[in-house]
Amino acid sequence: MDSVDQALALIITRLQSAIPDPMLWAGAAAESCAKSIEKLTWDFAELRRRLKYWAI
Amino acid sequence: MGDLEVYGADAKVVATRAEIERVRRELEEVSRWLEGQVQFDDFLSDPLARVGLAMEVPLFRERISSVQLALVQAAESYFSTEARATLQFEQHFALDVPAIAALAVGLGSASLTPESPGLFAEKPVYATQVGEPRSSLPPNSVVSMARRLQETTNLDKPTIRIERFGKNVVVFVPGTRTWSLGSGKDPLDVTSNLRAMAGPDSKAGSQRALSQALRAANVGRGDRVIFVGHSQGGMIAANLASKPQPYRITGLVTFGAPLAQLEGRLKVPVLAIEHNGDVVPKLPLNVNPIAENWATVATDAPNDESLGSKHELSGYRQTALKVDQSTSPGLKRIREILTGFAGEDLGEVRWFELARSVRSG
Repeated sequence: MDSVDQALALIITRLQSAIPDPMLWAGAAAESCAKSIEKLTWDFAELRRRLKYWAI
Repeated sequence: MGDLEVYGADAKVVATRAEIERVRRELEEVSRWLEGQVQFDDFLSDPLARVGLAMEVPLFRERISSVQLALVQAAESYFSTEARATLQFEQHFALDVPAIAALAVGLGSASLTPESPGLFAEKPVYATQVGEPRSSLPPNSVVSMARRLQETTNLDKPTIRIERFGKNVVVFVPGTRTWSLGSGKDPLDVTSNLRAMAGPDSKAGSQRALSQALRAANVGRGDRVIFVGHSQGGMIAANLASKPQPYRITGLVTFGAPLAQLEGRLKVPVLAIEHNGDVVPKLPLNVNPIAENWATVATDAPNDESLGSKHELSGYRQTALKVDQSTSPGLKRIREILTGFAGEDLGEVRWFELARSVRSG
């Protein structure tokens, strides 16, 4: 089982790879989707930073 | 009569179904993984941090879920229900329509005896100018294009209308007129339909006759041409537009024409207007591509009683008004290119009657 920090690191990597490839999907909807995923990634990174202080 | 559904033609839009689906699956995987991090057993490691994570997980999963929903909706918008159904049909049966058309023509063309040249055997065709040239206002709306096409279709004999505005030429090509099997005097028939479906290199009688009419009208080097066609007329025009010609083809307007088989080959601005439930534009068993040069408009037919009526040009004439009024950016851009093509000045219109030799051999 992964530690929380490792798990969040993997989730962040996975989210970054989920961002649409502009060669395959571009336009307003694709940009909006990419921004939503980037925001999620940023919030997970922030959560990861916060939870480091929760360790015993 | 429903609203217009427009896809393609947006200069900034590129979309593939596979990429949207990939993004959705990646997010699904992240969501599942996230859920796996807050199972009971997991709390044996990093218990405090795990509690903190467990408090945040529902909100994150909800956000991921909403992005996934938006992805499904995006795919819905790009690829209509009807288009998806058509694609499913294509995937299930994996039919290659041009190949089937070629096979049908091949079988029909096979000479059983020297005296019997086969059902779909092609013969020489002719294009002869009829009547005197007249002056013409430029066709500067989709409605005016549909009206001219209807007038040409209503003539007694298979006829092509060619309008010249300086170096710019607009050609109106009617659809199939003769539905009996076998090649007869009218080249706008089922034999030409099958041959034209086989692709740009087809020797469809109607396609050859259209080329002859253009030659007879002295359309050649230095001229720019757009075609306006219904049904088979749109298809043979698209076939010509898919290959180099002595003149430069700069646009295509079609009503109820099968074009999807030419994906990747049509590089000119295309305005393809289709009624929901009109089976003719669906004959390629595929949907028109989402491409910068290609606007596809789908809407309900105004006269919705039967499958046949959905294909009638009279119905498409009424739909043309909605196309002219649409403010959809992609459609507007393509429409302005095509309706502005002929300019403002008076031009000259000529008519060419098409015929196929009925002598065998």
